[in-house]
Amino acid sequence: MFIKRQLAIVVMISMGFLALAGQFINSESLREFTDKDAPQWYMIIAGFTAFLGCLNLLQLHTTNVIRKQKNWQYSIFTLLGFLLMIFFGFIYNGSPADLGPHLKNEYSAFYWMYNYVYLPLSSTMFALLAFFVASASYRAFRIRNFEATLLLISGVLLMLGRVPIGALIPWWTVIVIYISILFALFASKIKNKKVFFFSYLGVNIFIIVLGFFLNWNINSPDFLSIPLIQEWIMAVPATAGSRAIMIGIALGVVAQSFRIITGRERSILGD
Amino acid sequence: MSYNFEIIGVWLLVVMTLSILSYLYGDNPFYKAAEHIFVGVSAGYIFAITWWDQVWPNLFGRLFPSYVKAGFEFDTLYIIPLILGLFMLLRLIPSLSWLARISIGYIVGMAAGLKIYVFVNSNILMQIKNSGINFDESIWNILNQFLVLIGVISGLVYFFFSKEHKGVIGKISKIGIYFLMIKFGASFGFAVMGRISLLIGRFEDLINYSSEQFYFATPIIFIIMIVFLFVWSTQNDNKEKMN
Amino acid sequence: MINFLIKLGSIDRKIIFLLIALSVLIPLLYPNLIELPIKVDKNTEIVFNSISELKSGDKVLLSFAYGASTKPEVHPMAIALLKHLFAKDIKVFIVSLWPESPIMANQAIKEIVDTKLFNLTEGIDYALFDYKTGGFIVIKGIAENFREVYKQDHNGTLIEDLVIMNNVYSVSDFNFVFDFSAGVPGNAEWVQYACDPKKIPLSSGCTSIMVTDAIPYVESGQLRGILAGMPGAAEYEKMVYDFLVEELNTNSNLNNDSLLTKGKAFSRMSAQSVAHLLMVIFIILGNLSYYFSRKKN
Repeated sequence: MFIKRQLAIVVMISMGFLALAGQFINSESLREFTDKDAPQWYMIIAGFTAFLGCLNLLQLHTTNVIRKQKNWQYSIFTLLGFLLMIFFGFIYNGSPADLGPHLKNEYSAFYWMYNYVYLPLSSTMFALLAFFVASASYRAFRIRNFEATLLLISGVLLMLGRVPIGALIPWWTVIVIYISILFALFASKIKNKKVFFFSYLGVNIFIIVLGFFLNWNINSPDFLSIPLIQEWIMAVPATAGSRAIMIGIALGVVAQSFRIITGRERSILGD
Repeated sequence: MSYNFEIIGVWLLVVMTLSILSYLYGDNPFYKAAEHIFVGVSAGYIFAITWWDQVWPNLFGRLFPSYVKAGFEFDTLYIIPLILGLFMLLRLIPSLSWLARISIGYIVGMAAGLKIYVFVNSNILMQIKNSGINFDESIWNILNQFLVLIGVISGLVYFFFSKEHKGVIGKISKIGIYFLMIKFGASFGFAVMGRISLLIGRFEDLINYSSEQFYFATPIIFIIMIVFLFVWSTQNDNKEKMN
Repeated sequence: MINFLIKLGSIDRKIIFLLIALSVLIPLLYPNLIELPIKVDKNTEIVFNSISELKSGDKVLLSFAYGASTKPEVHPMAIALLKHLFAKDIKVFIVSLWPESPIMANQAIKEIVDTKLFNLTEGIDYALFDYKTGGFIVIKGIAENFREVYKQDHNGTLIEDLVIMNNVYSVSDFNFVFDFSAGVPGNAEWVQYACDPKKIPLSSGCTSIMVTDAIPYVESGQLRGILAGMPGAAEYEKMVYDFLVEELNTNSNLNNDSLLTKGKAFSRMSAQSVAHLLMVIFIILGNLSYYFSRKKN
């Protein structure tokens, strides 16, 4: 049936073309719709989408409790939390403000729930990841190949360079880091371990002594400052990588959008 | 009898925070309960704020302006978003869920139409324009701009999968991978930074609420939780042994 | 020694959790134990200079697009920027793009008012507007017709009755836009839908995790600098503090009998530094353990 299957696609194609045309065609009535009414309708429908999510959640957890499915006792907490917020949002105010603006009034019960229940839960959920990132870095972040080495060095330099401790790392430590990276690249070419060790030590001592002669201990050059190295990494190679990803994604989005407004992409509608 | 809601709130805050942090010990009833409360409270929050800030003034303010008083004038056309919004809610009823497709079509179509223009302008043309080299600048800046240009081109070559990455294309895409790895390393560094920052924020609150003013909320609740988790994990171990 | 390093590789993760917790807790409990000087990043300087170039009476649109989960990173930037703007007698307009943002914005303004540094009147010096659903559509709406998106401020006062809203009809009527973001919608949407098409200067303060995605916009000038997470907030707080100390006795917008404080992000940087150092040590130890265990096998 047309209404069940095709109408949604017709709406999708029409709105796509109208929205795109509004950027290029200088017609007052078209602009009036695409710049004023169409966005407002979008915002309102998006609001109802939020309601749909909430009601779906309610339906899911109510079913859990009624059918006594696994962990149904915890679903009671979800339902209680939701209903309490609705009660404070629509029925009980507790502040001198009217219903509506009371949501942001610090004396309202709704605000109290937000501050003492929602805020700590939300913040701590994200903060918890700090521990798992640390554990993952310790157990899984391994130098297996050159690419992984680049990733690691870039990450470490950034972590140190963005915080005050980075500025305290002395210039000769940075020299040792540079020389270590150089020797790591050519390690496979030097078979004799003694030669490798003594040449590594010798080069380090030579460059550090040279640095003292050049007064780097008083005024160290930019390339020996971790914060400035970090700035360069962000400004040049990281920008290049991010930009390549950004352009690639943009091309993908444009292609996908064309598929949508020409009606070729129907999976989005749930088909 | 009057209650000090701030103290009650602080104790509740500490319970919620420590319940989530208890996940570090392992999945446990405190964490599960806190997680479920979070889901319910966030849903309720979003429902209330979307209604009062968006739907009530912008929709009903235009359909019933004398009652809602949101500064809008009556506009019959706004029956359309009301109907489309209700269609969206009908997704919950299986026999009528097909109506929601019309609303989804509106949203998806409009977003697609808008994204073509802005992505081409801001994310493609502007980025390509700024990947160029300005030869009026210093040698160091020209070298850096050259590196950025090489990085962008080689990165894009890496993402071109219509041709096999062999020979010249293979070498260029290899260079692209190097630039991408540096970018991912930087992202990792920033991700660690962000998470640690959020952890610092939580610990600060816990430290503030361990003072006498708040009746030593943090240490008391921390100790109670440790004892409970110890008893619970012992009982769990015994149950597993019996099974 | 080598066997010890190999054993370290399979250490129980609860010990790692404990060490991370201690590395954050100890500097917070004893802030004077480690005092580290803050070095300002190039992008933070660009943000500060861009705001410094604004003149008294200019209009700045602030977009609050973050919530409780990212408050420690972004909220200190918001406070520091508001101090900077009010000290320069700049009119501030606050819009909210996330459901939690109206509360964040209210808390930020309340913190500024509580400092008693400025004599502020809502509706004249600043205005707050409600949250609207739609994300990028709201930004597009603000870019084309501000008064079509917002008919009233958050108190229900009609926009026509707000003195501050005189001659403000779209994003083109603002001198600067500043976005505080933690995700989508955020600085990318402001670049795409408002500031690039309308050529309005834009800057952003965002969570650390968003920085590498936003850096192409920064390097191309579409964003004028960026405040990167809590370190960026700490750097900006330091610059604003130094500015306010200089201006305290000469600037008529400031109440010179009120107390100046450095800000929350500033005090947290020692904890951040120690935690980062510990992370780097973990990575090095983990790799040493991996290297020696591979050699042994």
